[in-house]
Amino acid sequence: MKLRNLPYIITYILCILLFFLGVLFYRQSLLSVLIILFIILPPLSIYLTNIAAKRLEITLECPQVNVCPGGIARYTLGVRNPGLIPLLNILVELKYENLYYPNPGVSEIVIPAELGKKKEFSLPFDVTKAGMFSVSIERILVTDFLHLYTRELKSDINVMIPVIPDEERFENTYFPKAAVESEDSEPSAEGELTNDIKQLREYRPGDRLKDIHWKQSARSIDIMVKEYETTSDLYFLILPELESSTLEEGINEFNKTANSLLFMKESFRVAIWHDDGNHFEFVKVSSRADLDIAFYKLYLEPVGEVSEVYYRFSSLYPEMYGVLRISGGKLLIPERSDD
Amino acid sequence: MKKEKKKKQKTDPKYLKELELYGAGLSAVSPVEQPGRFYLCFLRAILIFLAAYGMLAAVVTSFDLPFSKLAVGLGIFVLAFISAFLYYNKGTFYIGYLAVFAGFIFFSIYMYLYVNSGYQAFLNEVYNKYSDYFRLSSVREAEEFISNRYLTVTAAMLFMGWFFCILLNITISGYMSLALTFLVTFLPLQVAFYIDIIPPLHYLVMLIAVYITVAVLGRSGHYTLPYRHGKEQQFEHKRRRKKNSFTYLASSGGMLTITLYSLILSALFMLICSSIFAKDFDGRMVSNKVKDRTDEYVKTAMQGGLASLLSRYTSTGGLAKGKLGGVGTVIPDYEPNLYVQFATDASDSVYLKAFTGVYYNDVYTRFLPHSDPDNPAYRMMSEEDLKTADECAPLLNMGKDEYRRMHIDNVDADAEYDYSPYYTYYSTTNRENSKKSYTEGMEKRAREYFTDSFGLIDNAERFDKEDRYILHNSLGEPDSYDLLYIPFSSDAVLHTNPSIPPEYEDMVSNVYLQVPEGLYDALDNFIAEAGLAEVSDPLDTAYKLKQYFMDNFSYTMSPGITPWGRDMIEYFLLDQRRGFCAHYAASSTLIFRRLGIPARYVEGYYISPGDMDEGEALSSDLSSWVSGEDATDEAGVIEVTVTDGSAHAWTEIYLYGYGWLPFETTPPSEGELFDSRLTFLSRFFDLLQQTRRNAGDNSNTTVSNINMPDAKTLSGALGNMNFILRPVLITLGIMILAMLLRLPFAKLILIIRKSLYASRGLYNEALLVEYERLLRLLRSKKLLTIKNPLPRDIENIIKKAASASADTAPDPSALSDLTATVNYSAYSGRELDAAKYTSVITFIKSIRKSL
Repeated sequence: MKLRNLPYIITYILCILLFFLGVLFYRQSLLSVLIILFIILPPLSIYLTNIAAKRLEITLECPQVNVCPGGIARYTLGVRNPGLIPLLNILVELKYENLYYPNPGVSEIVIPAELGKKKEFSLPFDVTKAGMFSVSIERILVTDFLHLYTRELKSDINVMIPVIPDEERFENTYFPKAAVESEDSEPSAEGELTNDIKQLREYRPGDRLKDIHWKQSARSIDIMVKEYETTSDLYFLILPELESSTLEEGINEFNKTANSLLFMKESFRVAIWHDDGNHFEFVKVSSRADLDIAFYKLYLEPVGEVSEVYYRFSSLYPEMYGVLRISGGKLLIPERSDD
Repeated sequence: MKKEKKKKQKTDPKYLKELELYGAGLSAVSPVEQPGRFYLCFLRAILIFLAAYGMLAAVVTSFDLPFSKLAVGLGIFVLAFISAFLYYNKGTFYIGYLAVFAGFIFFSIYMYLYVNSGYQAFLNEVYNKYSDYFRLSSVREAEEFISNRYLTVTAAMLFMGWFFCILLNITISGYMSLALTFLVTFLPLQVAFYIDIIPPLHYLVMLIAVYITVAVLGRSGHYTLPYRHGKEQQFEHKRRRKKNSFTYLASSGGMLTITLYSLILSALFMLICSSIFAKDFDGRMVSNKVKDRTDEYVKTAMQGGLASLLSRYTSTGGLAKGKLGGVGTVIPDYEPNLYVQFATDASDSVYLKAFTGVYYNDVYTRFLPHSDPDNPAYRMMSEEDLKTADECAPLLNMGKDEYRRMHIDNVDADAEYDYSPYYTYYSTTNRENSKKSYTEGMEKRAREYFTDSFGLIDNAERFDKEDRYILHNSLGEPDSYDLLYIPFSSDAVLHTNPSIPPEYEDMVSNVYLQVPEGLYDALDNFIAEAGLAEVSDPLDTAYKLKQYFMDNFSYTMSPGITPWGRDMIEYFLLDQRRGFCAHYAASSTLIFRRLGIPARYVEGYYISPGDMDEGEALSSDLSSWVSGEDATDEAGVIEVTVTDGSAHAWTEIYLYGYGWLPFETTPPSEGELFDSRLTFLSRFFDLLQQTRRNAGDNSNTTVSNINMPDAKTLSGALGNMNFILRPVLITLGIMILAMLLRLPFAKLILIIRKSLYASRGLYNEALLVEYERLLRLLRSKKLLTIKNPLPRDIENIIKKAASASADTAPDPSALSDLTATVNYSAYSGRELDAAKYTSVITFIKSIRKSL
């Protein structure tokens, strides 16, 4: 029983008392029959509701991959009642928010669960700001036919989609390529930018000295050079340093930078700091779909007043250079480049 | 419309703020598939039909009236259909209602005679049944213009059906309100149930199904036909603080299912409860204050029509003090007003006079008393006139000198007045002289001529009743007094009174012939109609008037109130022509005056011979009650309880040379030989006493087969609740049994299904049923908690569960085979062979045993 049932319970008890007085004073058969009906209905209603609630299936889906600010995220709430007892009073408590702008409010949707096929309801959310848009079902309350009893069903349904700005880019901007090396650069540590060796090949004029594989060269006649995995694609690295005061500008700047690179048919990586794992993830982007993934991962990370991302990045990779920083809502293009 | 709503929502400042602050907002919710509006209206039509037809047919059938079930059923269905579809959209709502009302009025006018006759036929049957039930002495009878009741009742039912469809459409389609729907249908049903007539149960099934459906749908909120909204808008949006609430407006599937289930439940329920209806309920044997009072109102309505319930002010009898016309029905409560002790021979009635009305004020339709300064006649009467007014009466000659003492205890009558019989000449009351019923001159002469009689007071025998609360008069003293009077009997010979001064008669001519000019025409018309002008002798005129009233008017305690703006006397004489004593006394007074006979209106109490018969005998010793000649035929001293039912009004006419003479013009009630009022009231009173007696005495053998309620104590009341407790317990028992048997029943169904499938060679289905039984077992043992598990999940669960008991663990390969077979049966589309089926079933059974 919930507090919301209390007015109904009081009304119901008052009705029973009223009818009881009627029976007491008038001894009328119809009143007697109605009072019996009053007594029978609540347990029947609660019992049937409990049976039906056990089999109730609630789903939440969003067919969209992403949505742009100012657009509509169309979710679908599905209700299926496979039993023989309809449920008329199902309250689905939804919490929807952009993770960057937590919303303390919730929305209630009161729907029936009719018998037969799944019934779907469209939930069009207006989203205005970039970030991770999340819709979760907080609670499902199933109330009996007479509103005397409410059963709470647990739910952990949560569906998120990123709100990604429209495709904008810089015009005629020069982007330097980046190089990031760890001090103990072991080869092929997956995820670390410059250690993924694709193959060894013979030395060609113009190759960097540091790319010569000295051990292998000693065993062979020719000087062997390490050729890195998609060396040319990996060369651009964006480091988004998002701060709450310049959040929208930062996301837009990152978006424009990324789109500019994609427009130039360049692949790049985005360095995303995972606060919980205390490490950087380098998300490889060579298409718009990859960029969506990058946004998705970026949005999941919390944003503070002051970004410590660059500090952590420079600590881990002290010799990095040519990184495209998005700091203070602006794109900072490094002056020095190694090509 | 949708765009407008959406635009409105999007320009809502709160919503815009939400978007600005939180970057997201939910503007609307809609179903992917729109519910059919036609379907929703149709379901409402069904509910309206069930309620309207169920109720009307139940009531009419209860009174054995003939009607065409087909015509009425079809007609009401069409009307319910039309009514429900008024809510289809805004156009049908506004234009449709006008059309429906126009059609209703046209039908009412065109079929007026049929509808009216059918209605009157119904009323007549109701009157008859109620008359039998309550043993009423008189009831109304309505005139039926057309005698073919089959036609007229059908027409009246269609008319009422139309009316109720409109009402129920509002309560169901508009509000889905159980309270309103219940009131609209339950109250008409009470016409039958109140006098223990049980309508056919299938009509009640219809009604109860509607009650359940309306209650469930009304509470769910998914009943609203969104005709007030855009066609696409299927959710109602409310914003409560930080919560947005979206409620689905109409669930067509839910409505249909609930309606069907309610019908089934209602039918089952009525079957269970039919024993209650079969029980011999007899409302007549039920007595308590609430029931008795309701009975009184019901009887009043039966006798005087519903209008009789609409009194401007209540009257339980007692003195009206000249106020006339505002009481539709006098409903005496029969509580004692006076206790009167006197010596009687129980042969003659006694009038205790109190109020004297002089001037008739036609604006307020009331008589003003002597002492009212607003009374214009007051200024015309000197102090001497007022003092001598009551001594100007004819002299009596009864053939013997006899004086009597009377003792009065006032317990609930108006303490302003001195209640005294005619020819009272002394009273021990301490009222000021003007409020006494006799004058100083009368007392003075009595002390001179009837000296001995005063000894009755000096040596009075007292019968004090200590448990009696006596009112206090204006002086703050208990209103309990003795008085001396000369008994007035019907065989007394009246003589002229030479002591009446001529100036008094002049005053009488000036004051007691007053008639408002506005009533001249009405009175003259009545006088001409009754032929009163042709008689010259005042007494002959009075008797002729009394006879005319007896022949052409009727007595009733429920005449109905006088319409606003009409004079009570004019309305009574020309239109109403029925009423109680106040109507006759007031009208007679003005008629006499118009004929030149001075008259005045009097109120007081009337003690009938019947009252004296029922009086309490106090003593047979008359020595301190009667003085003068021996009264050998006296029965003794009695105490009579005078209730408000004995309050009465009459007329005094002035006979020049004689003085004031009381005259009764109130006719007896219909069918009674003499005093209608007495007979009517006594029967009425008897009826109440009967029910009370029955209620109070459970050992009464005449009613021993009926549960006699005694609502005076809760335990007494509850002790008699067996008639309802038994079915309640039986019903609850059935419900508990049903709950307990649910699981075995479900198992049984599965086994039957499996056997049926296997016998037809449908091994896939049979295996899946057996597999479902296995899942149920796992769920009951809390091993399976996930929803929609795959066969692979089940396999893991069984493996895990079996690992605990290595002895009975199933063979892992057989378990994998089971999973594969289930998948095969469910998804391959090919039928399983019998041998495989048998082996898998055996394996499942072994798993079930091991679990």
